[in-house]
Amino acid sequence: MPQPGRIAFRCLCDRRTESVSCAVVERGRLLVWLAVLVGLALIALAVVYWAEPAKSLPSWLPGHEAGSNHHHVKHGIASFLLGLACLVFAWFRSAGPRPRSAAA
Amino acid sequence: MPISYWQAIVLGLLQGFSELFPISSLGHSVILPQLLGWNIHQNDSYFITFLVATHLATALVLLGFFWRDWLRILRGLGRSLRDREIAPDDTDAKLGWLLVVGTIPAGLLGLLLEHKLRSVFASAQSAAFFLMINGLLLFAAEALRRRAPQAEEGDPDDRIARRISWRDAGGVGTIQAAALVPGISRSGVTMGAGLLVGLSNEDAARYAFLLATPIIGAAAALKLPELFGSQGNGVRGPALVGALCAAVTAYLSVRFLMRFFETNRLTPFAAYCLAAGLACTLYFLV
Repeated sequence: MPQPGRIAFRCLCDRRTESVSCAVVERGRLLVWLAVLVGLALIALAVVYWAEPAKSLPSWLPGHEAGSNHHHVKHGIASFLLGLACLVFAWFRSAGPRPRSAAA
Repeated sequence: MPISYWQAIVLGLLQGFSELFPISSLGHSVILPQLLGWNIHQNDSYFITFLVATHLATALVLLGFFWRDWLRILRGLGRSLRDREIAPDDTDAKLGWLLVVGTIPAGLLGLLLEHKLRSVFASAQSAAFFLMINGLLLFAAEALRRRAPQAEEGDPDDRIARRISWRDAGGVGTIQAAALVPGISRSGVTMGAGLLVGLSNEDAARYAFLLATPIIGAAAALKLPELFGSQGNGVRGPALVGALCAAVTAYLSVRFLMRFFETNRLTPFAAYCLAAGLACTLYFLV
């Protein structure tokens, strides 16, 4: 049984539902790009957390503390893991159509 | 020496079995020193260092016990990444990603909240109170379970992969974070949540142990530098002894529990937590 995330891509060949498919595919692509951007941003944020002490972090970031030399390693790990998860999601989500097996 | 060898043996043995039994290892590590009049507190840096060693030992035992499963799961993860899909009949890949989905929220909450929760709920009194709550949660999970308790046939991983949805995996993983509060058991809440999403006791226990391995291992690995740094001075010997004791009891516990849950339920542990929590709460109040 195909996964829901895949249906959009697999519908491409179906001419009768072409317009619907295109809209769904566009939404899917947007989601993939969004996941990639968010993933990369979170990984960049992780590097900032590891490299900069708490006093040098932008004030809007969680963990900012004036005068503190503490490095928020854990915040960095959390951010990195979330970023990685976003990229993995994009990797699966952006897979192209696959030939169905005879049994399917 | 902040922790004597005798204390290390007792705490190591206790940690090894209470980490895997659904009775809260952290709760017991907080309550027992208080009951015995030991001058050990869970926020003392040397005690945290000691706990790192015992947790690492427990994680290694779990990894060793399920090593064949982990190998299959890792291969499944690799296969799915290569193919960019989780094949419907690839149980190992599905189980692997369920574990990833469950580990992410627990890991994030653990990273962000561990220190704060430890500070707030540091006392033995609160650990005893939450041990009671843990007992009630286990009772509730058994009462509200979706599947009748009975022995099942077939591959347990296949059953787990079929019955747990992605949302369930996220929910079960997230609830693990409740174990950051001393007195609430990680394996207990995970097993309880497993019952609520339709697993049997045996499968819930298996899933809980698989889910616990990366979290316990990562938490210990993250604090490993403290064991080998200046904080570990004077505590490395007892920590090693405690870790060996924890490894022995963790191995015996996981062997026992995997058989126990083939035919038994969480109820005895729920009763123990309720009774022990109540007794300790009253003792600390008087």
